[in-house]
Amino acid sequence: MSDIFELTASLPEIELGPGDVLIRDGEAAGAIWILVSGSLRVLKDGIEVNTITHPGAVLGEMSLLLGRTYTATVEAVESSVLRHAADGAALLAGDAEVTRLVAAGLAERLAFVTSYLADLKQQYGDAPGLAMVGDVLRRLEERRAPRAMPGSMREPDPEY
Amino acid sequence: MRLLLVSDLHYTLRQFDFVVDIAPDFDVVVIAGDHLDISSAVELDAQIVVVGKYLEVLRDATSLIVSSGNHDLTGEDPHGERAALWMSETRAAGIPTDGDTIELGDTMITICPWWDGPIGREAVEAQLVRDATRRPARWIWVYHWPPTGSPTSWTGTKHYGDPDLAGWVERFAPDIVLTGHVHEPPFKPGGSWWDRTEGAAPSWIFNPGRQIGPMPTRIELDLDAGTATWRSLMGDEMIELAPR
Repeated sequence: MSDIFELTASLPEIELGPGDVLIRDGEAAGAIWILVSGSLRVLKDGIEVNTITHPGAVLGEMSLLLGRTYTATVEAVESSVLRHAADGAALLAGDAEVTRLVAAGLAERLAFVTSYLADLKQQYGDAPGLAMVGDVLRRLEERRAPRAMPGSMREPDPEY
Repeated sequence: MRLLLVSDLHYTLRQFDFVVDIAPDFDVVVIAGDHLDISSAVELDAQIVVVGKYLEVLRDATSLIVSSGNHDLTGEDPHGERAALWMSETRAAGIPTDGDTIELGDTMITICPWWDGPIGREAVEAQLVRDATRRPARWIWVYHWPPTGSPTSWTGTKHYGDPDLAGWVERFAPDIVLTGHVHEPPFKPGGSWWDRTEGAAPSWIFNPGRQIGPMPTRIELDLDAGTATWRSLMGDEMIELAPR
């Protein structure tokens, strides 16, 4: 089994200095980056929600796969090096092993969230909203429905 | 019959929890739309699953009735008009919802969807025309948007009501209309959580409004005692429901 560094060795590398912004919340997605070295912070509405220091961490893949703009801002905490695929879709389409590794990373994070929420139910299961967490998680995992799209033609810019 | 009206919970889970806690005290619980919140960080599909689960819990506790609001629209219906498509899952769970009419004793409750185009509007009108021909002693509507020109749709600076509902209320004169949508009326001078239309067959209009925190604003109707009580962080207010 290959690792992500071996598979992406041909990608160009970029360097960021402390405070340099890699991804900006709300901007169009499309690229994928792989962290080689350094440290990044993830900001949502100006609040730090995560840090990324693990070499081989993939960034940009969720927005790319969901076809959405970025949902957080990512900036360098210190001097950092990343591999950069400007056309992330082409990278995934061109190498099944890269795609598998990206999917494995997403599945791993989903498992983190699921296990955390399931434990919440165990520890705080007496409130109605928490008591249903396990059932909600099972339904979410199994849900196969057309994607819900919000919006009203009658109230296109609702005050309420 | 004791009926609880809440609306515009907007995926506020603590408020759903609160409704679950008090639901057994009522014969009927009505949630008049905007169960979801389109500005939430939680994906709409995930909100549907969570809210659906809450509705099942409430269904097991009392008679539950839900209608859709503008935040609940998730796609296009066969006519190409926006609709709360997930309400079909709610109906499949045995919960009366958009387009349904139920009878509880001498009371008929017509549940109107959020309509979002001319075909949807025609369907709501047809539903009201049909039910008008068989109205029993008491006819209640559930309709997300309060009528225009009513203190129940007064924001504090303007009337923000539904002119179609105002026309239908005048035409069909239901006994009671349960709404939501406009959050401020109960809290604003000139606004109110209740209204009583003029005329020989007046209709009561109710809108509980919306507040932050774990407890939703709510209206408790005791139809046997003839009272309506609004409960909020501002305290409680009660009115007598004068007979026609």
